[in-house]
Amino acid sequence: MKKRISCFLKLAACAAVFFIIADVKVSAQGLSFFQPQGGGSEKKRTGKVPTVINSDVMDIDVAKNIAIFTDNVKVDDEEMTITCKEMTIFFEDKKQDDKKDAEKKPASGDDTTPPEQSKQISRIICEENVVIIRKPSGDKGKDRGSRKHWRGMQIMMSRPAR
Amino acid sequence: MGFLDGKISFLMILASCVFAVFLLLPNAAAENDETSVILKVFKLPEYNKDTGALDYIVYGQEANNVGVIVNLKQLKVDWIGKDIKDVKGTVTTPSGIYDRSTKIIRGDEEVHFRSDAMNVDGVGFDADQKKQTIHIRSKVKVILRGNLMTDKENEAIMTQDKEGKK
Repeated sequence: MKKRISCFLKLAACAAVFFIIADVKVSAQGLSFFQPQGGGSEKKRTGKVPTVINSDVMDIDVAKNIAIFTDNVKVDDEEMTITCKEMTIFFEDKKQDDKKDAEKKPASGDDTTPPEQSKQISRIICEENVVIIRKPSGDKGKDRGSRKHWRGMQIMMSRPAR
Repeated sequence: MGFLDGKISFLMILASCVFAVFLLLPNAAAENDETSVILKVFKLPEYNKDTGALDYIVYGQEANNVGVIVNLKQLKVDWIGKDIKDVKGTVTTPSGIYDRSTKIIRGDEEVHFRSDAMNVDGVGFDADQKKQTIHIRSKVKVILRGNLMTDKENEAIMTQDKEGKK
């Protein structure tokens, strides 16, 4: 009887050690052994996925740093999808410090690395039939209740969908 | 005699006027003559009349010049900023029509616009070189070089990447 109990205890201890090690190792890779894997819900934001915008018509004013998209506008970002009738993007010059940092970076030859950019988005205005669908993010618990600060925090829906 | 002198001088003035008109007519005709000039593999810089600064450069494989209209093939336009190294945007298209009087280039074919903020592809365009504006008529696809994240988020990702590499 004692032998059986000791054997059972050893087995349980081994199983516990295995599960602990497995969880630590897989968690270190950004996954949890005990949480469901796969599916978009566990996707972490990398910042390397570019934002793609499709529309019927577009106007760019380089001097004024404005891009206006008209008709069937669809924005596909890593974190959200926006559809609307008209969207205006305002760009601004990046800070000098940021520019210097970018210049210091050696060319990596990696195609995924975006080229040096001197402009960044300062404001986005979406008008008419605006629908914003936020994609599920990796750290759900942390995000819940917090306010996300996109660069498009200034997104204004002047005439939202009725 | 005085009357005769006056008549002669009047005739002389009239004759000189007619002669001048004959002299000027061929020039006027030449100005109206829309002779076609074809350029191959060209580079056409345009300067600001007031400041003398370089505004834009039109490159192309072929240009057919008829009056103020230039039919361009395989054209590329660089919009210049403060200096020649500062290219604000580049427009490329297989063909376009350049109106030299309005400085507007139009085209019905696919067009690509590249700048340090975004890559734009579309079909059909009207590009105003003076104002540095471009209207893309259809099938617009834009890839933003940046994304909608704030600087703080970007920095956080960068630091995460650095720590991951270590």
